[in-house]
Amino acid sequence: MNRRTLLKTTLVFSAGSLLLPACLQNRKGKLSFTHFSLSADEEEMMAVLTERILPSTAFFGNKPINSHQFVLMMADECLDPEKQQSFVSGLKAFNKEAKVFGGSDFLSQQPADQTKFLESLEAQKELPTALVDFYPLTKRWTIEAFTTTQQYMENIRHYNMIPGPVYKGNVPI
Amino acid sequence: MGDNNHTYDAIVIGSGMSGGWAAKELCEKGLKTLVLERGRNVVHNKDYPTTNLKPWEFKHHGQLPYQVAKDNPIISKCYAFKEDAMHFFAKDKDHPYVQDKPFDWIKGYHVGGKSIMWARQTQRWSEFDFEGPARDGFAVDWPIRYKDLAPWYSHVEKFAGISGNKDGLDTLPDGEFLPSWELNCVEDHFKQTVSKAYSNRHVIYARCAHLTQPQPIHLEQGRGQCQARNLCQRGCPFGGYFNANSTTLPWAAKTGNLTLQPDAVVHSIIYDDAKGKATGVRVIDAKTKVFTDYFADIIFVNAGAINTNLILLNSVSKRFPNGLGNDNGLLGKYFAFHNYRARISATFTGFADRNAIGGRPTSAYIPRFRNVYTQETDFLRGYATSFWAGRSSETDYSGVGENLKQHLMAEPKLGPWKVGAGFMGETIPKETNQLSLDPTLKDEWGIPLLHFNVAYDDNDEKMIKDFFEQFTEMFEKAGFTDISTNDSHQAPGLDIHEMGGVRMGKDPASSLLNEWNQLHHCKNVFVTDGACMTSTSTQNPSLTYMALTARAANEAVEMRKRKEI
Repeated sequence: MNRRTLLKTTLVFSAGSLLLPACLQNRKGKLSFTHFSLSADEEEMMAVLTERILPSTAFFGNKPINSHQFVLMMADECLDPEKQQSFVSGLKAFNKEAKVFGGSDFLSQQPADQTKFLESLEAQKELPTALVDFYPLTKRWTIEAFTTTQQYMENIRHYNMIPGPVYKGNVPI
Repeated sequence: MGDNNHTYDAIVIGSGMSGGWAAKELCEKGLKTLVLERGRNVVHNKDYPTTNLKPWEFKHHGQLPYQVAKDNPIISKCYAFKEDAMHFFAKDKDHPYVQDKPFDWIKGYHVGGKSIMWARQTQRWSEFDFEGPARDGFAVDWPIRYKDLAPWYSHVEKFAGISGNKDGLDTLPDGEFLPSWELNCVEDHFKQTVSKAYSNRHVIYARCAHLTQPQPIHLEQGRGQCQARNLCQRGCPFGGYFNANSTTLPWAAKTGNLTLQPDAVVHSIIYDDAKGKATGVRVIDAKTKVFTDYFADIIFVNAGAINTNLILLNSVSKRFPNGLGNDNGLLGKYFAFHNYRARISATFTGFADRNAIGGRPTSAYIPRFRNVYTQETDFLRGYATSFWAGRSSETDYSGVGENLKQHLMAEPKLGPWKVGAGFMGETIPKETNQLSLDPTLKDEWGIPLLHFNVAYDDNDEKMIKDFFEQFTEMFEKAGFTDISTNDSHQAPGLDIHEMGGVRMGKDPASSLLNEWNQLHHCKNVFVTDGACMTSTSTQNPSLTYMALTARAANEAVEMRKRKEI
């Protein structure tokens, strides 16, 4: 069995396991989605993961941005079924990779170790195949959840919906 | 005449770009006018639900949800069909059609039509465009020339509000302009390079329907200065650009002569064999499906080029078994469009110490320079080009945690200038490019589905090749690097410049409409939207539809006074 076939089998198996009643796997998470469901641990892992990618509470008045909610909503509503399945499989594979790296579930690791794991992923030339539809999207949407907040757009990027009729095409910088 | 017996002086089918103008002109001249719109009402500044939403207020931050894209494979190809404006596009599954050859039909079914979401480019045609078919031997000769339309261009420009410079080009006549936006330093550098290297190539700032300096007539319309929000497709709270909802339709309503009827799907135009003229319009209520007939002396067909063809083809009578006015069998034929397939982009490392600030609703423009004075290539006609330059900026998204946070909080690093040029090719109308009715398939309202047999030809392919060659050369002369060409191979239709099928001409044997946009064989029916176009030129066509409509409407009023119709 070559690596590709193995990967496909894993994907099919993971997709199949999604259909099992939630109680057989774990407690169900609080968030509800149309196209997949997550266990409470998986949901918690997403909350911690997005927080490690970008520590949102450290920004504006320590008000949490809850980026994971945006990430998962986008995965639920903006991905085609194939990509979506790959994203959800990747979510599960992420924990396995974390375990290989740090010796325990991502959630059980110390924050510094969690960050170390992410840094190790970032340092790799190519991500593990199982994560290619998960980690980059999670990071992109985590960043987007932050850079599209009113606080960021107005205070950091000086967003102005009504710039006014002035355009100058030759301004020294 | 009152409206109790469903009788008016005039009926206008369609409330968009050209229908709004027919309504304005006819109402101003005192005609009780019924405007029929197949979609819902959209009132300026009341029915623009997303116009003031900030990026963080859109659930998907502007992206199209997968289900919406899946349900609308055609309309999703349109650049403006995003979370902020998708409510202004008719959905694919509600309005099916038959693609014998691929055609992307982009529709806006509501009051104002596509004038809400249009790209607002307003270049006049020139004498070269009107003379084109006769000189180059394609289509048929236009029955009018530039001088016939020039005063009407002025008429609509003053009212709509068009910004631009007086560039003094014979390929792009000047008009009644409000102050123009300006070129940025790289666009200006390209302009200087091109004008030094070529005698008849000109880079200008595009004329566009934005109020850069509102005049009393615009303030009277309740419109204000364009604030460069660049969110026009949502409808503008300032009325800063022209759409029918903020401009022509309210003006028509103010006369007291307008009756605007949304949710009115036109089935056909009623022809009276005994009277030898059209007497009215058969309408289906979009919701209840109940039929009602409305009557008038004058009928303007402004349903949008494709639906205008459909309505005329579906208007059969004993006298016109093949569609209204269609004695020569040419109705639906010689349908054409603009070729928007080609783009070229590059990088410019010059002006590294310069940037542009502020917003601008449009960009630069290069009028057609190929085959203008003489035939110089192995293809007919030519192309206009949009051109733009902007400074790129780079944000470092590497790392995680505090590292990433610092990157995001830092000012983006300015990169080199990026430049791009977009091709707008004239296509040659051909008899084989045809719209026709399906003999059996019908839509929800019982109206036959339309077949599209429309395709590119060899002339289009040669023109794209020339565009790539010429612009690569021009870009190289300007010192641009990393030049890359792209042919999207998109189907006809996505240009949203559909034209023809009910073409104007001098001879009833070879055209459907005369010099006043009247059907040769049914003189009280006027077609003044894109369907009337004999050839396509390279200019964004809306301004020409507006001018043709205003001209025809005023003549129709005079003809009615003279009891000719």
